[in-house]
Amino acid sequence: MNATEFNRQLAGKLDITQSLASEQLAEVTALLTDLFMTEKSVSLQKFGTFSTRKIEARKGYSPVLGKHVIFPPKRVLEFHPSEILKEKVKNINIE
Amino acid sequence: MDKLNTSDLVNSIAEKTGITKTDTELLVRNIIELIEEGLRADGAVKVKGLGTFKLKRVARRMGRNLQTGEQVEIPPHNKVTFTPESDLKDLVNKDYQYLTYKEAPVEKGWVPPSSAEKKEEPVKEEIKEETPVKSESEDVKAVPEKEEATPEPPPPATPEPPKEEPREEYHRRRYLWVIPVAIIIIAILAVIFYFRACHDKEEEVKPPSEQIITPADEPEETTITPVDTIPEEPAATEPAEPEIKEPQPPETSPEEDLLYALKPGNYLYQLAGQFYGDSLFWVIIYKANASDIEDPEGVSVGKELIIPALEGDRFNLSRADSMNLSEGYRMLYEYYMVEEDPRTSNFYFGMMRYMPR
Repeated sequence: MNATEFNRQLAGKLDITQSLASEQLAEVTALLTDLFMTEKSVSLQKFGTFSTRKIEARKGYSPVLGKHVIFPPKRVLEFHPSEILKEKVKNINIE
Repeated sequence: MDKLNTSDLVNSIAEKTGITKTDTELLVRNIIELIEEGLRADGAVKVKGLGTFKLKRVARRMGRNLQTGEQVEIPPHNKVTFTPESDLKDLVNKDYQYLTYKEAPVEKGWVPPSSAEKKEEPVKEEIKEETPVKSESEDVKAVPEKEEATPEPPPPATPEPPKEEPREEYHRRRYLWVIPVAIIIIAILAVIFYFRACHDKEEEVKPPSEQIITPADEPEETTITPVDTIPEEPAATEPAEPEIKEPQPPETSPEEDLLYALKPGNYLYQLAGQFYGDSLFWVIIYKANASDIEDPEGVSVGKELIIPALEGDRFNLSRADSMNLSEGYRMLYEYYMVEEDPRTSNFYFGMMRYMPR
């Protein structure tokens, strides 16, 4: 499901116009982005948890450079699905 | 770190946008629902401003029951993956956004290919302190060689210089105390070797001609490499320079053992640099040809040497490679012990270092 399709279906569910749906979705994601930027984690019931994690600098091998290098630290956003979601998608047949 | 739940999120959205809480909750619920539906429908959902949720198939595997310790089969299943949009990724990572990789400190047996920038204080310090040690073998060498050899980027660098780099890049407190300590240790080692060498022979100290020695992996070994100067063949010294100076390790290590006829200007350590990319590996060549070489410091032109192949590569030595290295060091240790050479202990350290555990 691509972004356009997602927006179309969201509008259908909420029974509002697509442009309004896209606006409201943007509000939600903007707020989430703010939260993630301030290192907060957000758990959504029955769905999962978004959290950020700092990855420390580490030694490694860069296949691109062909060298052993120290990778700098970074912060990443992670999503951990809830048990409920995990259970729901466990046995779906995806080709 | 603060943790927000659904109602916190709904409250703050409602506050920010002015939509009623009921509507906001409906909105959030529907977004979540829709993501689930999308996953079920075609295994992938792209949400603008957030990222992509995807289902990934996990194959059947064996696991272990943590309580009982017995093996259980984990059946194949799907798992949800989430990849944030690159904009969001960058925003989350904005504190560290502009950091780039840095070359790693040298690991055992590993030589950074470009070490031109490694000419830092610790290395120089070592050069000064250690040079008298090898001077006796280089007496034959022409003085101009010094200028030529000096700019050469040291192939195997000391572990210390790279350690300084992370400090500049991102302030890792951990590294800060390591550097002075490492420098002091090197200085002490260098001084010890210097005095031991001076004690053994009362020769006057000539200006050192060879600098290639300095960049050894560890201070003990730094003195080993120059050994190969060929006192009997002064003519051979000139053509040698261009070859030694090659900064990058040239050819890949030989796939199988090959025979190499010595040309003027070939030293064992220089051959090792050429074939293995690491001049310290000359002990392997010595070991393979030990019966043919009376004096490791003077190999004659035209002689055919076996260049043994490495099983692994110079970064990942196989057990047999380490064994060969250790054995090579042992033979040289014995050779120099008979000669009562002050550098004998270096070979002992080399032997211990590569001894497979």
